[in-house]
Amino acid sequence: MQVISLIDQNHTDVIKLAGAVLARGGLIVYPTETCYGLGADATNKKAIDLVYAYKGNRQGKPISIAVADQHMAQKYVSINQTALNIYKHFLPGPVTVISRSLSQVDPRLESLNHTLGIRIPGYPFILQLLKSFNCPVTATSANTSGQKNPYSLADFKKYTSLTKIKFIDLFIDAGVLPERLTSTVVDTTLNEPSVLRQGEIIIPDTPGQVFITDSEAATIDIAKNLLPNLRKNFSAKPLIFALQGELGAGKTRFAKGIAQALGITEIITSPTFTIINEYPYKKGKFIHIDTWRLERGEELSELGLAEMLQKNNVLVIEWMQKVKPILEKIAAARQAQIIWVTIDYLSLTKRKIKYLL
Amino acid sequence: MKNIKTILAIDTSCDETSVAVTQEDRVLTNIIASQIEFHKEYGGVVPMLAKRMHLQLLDPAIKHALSRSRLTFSDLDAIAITIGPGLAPALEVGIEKAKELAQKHKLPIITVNHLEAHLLSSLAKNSQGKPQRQFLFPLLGVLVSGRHTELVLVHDFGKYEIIGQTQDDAAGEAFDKVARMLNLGYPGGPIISEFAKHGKPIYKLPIPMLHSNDLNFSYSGLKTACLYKLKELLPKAGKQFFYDFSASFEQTIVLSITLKLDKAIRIYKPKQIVMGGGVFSNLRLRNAVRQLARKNGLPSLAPVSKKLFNDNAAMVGVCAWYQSKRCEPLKDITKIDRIPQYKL
Repeated sequence: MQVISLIDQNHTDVIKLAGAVLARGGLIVYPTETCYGLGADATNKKAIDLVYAYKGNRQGKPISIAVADQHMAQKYVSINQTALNIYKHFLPGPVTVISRSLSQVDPRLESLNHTLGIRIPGYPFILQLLKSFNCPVTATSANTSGQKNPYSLADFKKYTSLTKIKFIDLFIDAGVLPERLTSTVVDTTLNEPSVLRQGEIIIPDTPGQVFITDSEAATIDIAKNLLPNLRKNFSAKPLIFALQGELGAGKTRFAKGIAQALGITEIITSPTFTIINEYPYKKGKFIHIDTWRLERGEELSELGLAEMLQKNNVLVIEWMQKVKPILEKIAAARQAQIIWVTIDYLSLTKRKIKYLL
Repeated sequence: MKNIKTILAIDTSCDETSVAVTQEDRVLTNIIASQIEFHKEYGGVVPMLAKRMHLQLLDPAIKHALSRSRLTFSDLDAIAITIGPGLAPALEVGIEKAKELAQKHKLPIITVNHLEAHLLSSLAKNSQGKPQRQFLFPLLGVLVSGRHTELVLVHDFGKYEIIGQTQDDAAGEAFDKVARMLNLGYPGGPIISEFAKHGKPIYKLPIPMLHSNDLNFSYSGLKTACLYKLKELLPKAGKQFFYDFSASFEQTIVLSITLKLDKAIRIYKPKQIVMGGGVFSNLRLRNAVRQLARKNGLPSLAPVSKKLFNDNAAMVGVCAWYQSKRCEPLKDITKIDRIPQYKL
């Protein structure tokens, strides 16, 4: 392992030297604004073999890549609105942004969902190096698996075995780095605005089915009063309340009202994390679903939507936009009645609630 | 009946496939499949749902957990399985697997409540039996995660009383949703915590349930307040705004929890405060709870490693061991079923 001290005067030389090592598939250790990182050409299979052999005990674990800027990142991942927001405000900096991979790097670096982490280090020298090398470089801490993150050459030597040190061709020594934690990882592939808007339904304003509520309690009451009328009309048919409305509009409040009408006394909490909550009531089940964390709407049918549509069961589905197509199909097959509900903000406390059969 | 000591524990209550091997209250291995990521080796690319269904990951995770602890099925005394609360189809996968293994290897099954496991996660020790810890009853448990926000009065092992809980969203969920409003990706909790370090809490947000007399929590109002603030401020936001807003939001969440906890301490006079759940990975919340306990002259406990904060099977194994000391395992394992809304 060659060690080269980075000083103001030798940046160009070090860039040339590191570039040559990377180009022939070698490994470098480089400074970042967090700890020292392990660099290899992310598009070179042999180099990535070495990275995994060096790191040890992390077969199959994805590794992020470092690029010089957003322009370079776009060659490797598709950047959506959420990602763009983070690139704009926080990069270069200690944030790793996960996006859909365009499969331009070694597949082992991607996650199980075909996503890839992008890092634009807030360390000007490394950005120059990446720009000059013009190919992404792995961005993982330079320690072997299970060891402490290195913040200096001394750290690195202390925690890395001699056998493993032999894997490294070049150590770019920038002295002792400030002990900042490793980067924060954000996944930008879930809940894009575009996904949530898909198939949105528009309910016209007609008298008799538009309500203005001015409190959370009033939203609960609307739902509570709506259910008995529907039961009269549809007897034991399974009912599905398909809800759309922004974050915080009151979708869970609406679900609380339906549950109260069914005589359920348990507290109805948000199903966002568990996706499906079910509560038995006298004649069947009240099932409260939130699709917010689902990647695709079809997942709901795999989670047993058809089996949920039993006689007397009542479903409330939040973020129905995601599941609208399969909802209509399965509901028809199971002879369930869908009630489309939208809740719109009018003000901080006022909501407009509309429904359509 | 033989004393139960070595347990293979499985938790498939939501997104994570986790398998652990525990010996009494010591954790030998604690495998969380998404972190070890064997999928490529074993199952190729796994879509989100398959991950949630735990089908591909469970067998390799079991194999991995046993081999890493250098044990085989013949060394085990029992299998522990989470039966709720959680996502029904996901719970079923773990339960079926537990039954299959129990039958094949003639092992008893201990069914575990995921919430109780979080509550006891502070008692989990490393494989050397460190650190020494014990509960002082009655104690006050604070559970804060992506799906729970609860205050639990613990009279003894197995004697739990929920004295406060969320009426709508969990605190961890509020983090994720506000991160979504800020367009910061998912999961939002860690990134808000990170950004909060660089910001000042200069934005006034309403502290949820400040004026309610009970010990309950609610985060829907805070969500709406954030949405309105952001509609006004986000279009002209710069980097510092994200930092400051994250700090303001984080502080509001921390206050919403410590204010209720303070009230609960005064009412119930516990001897100890115990933390559990993924949101305690947030250092500011952990420190605030510690400080509050200290102010009241109480010791506090939090899990010893980050892995034990989030959903994991090691806490399930430890919880099962404590259960085994007070009750016999189930006789008829065919009757074991998932309980998605399992209460403490």
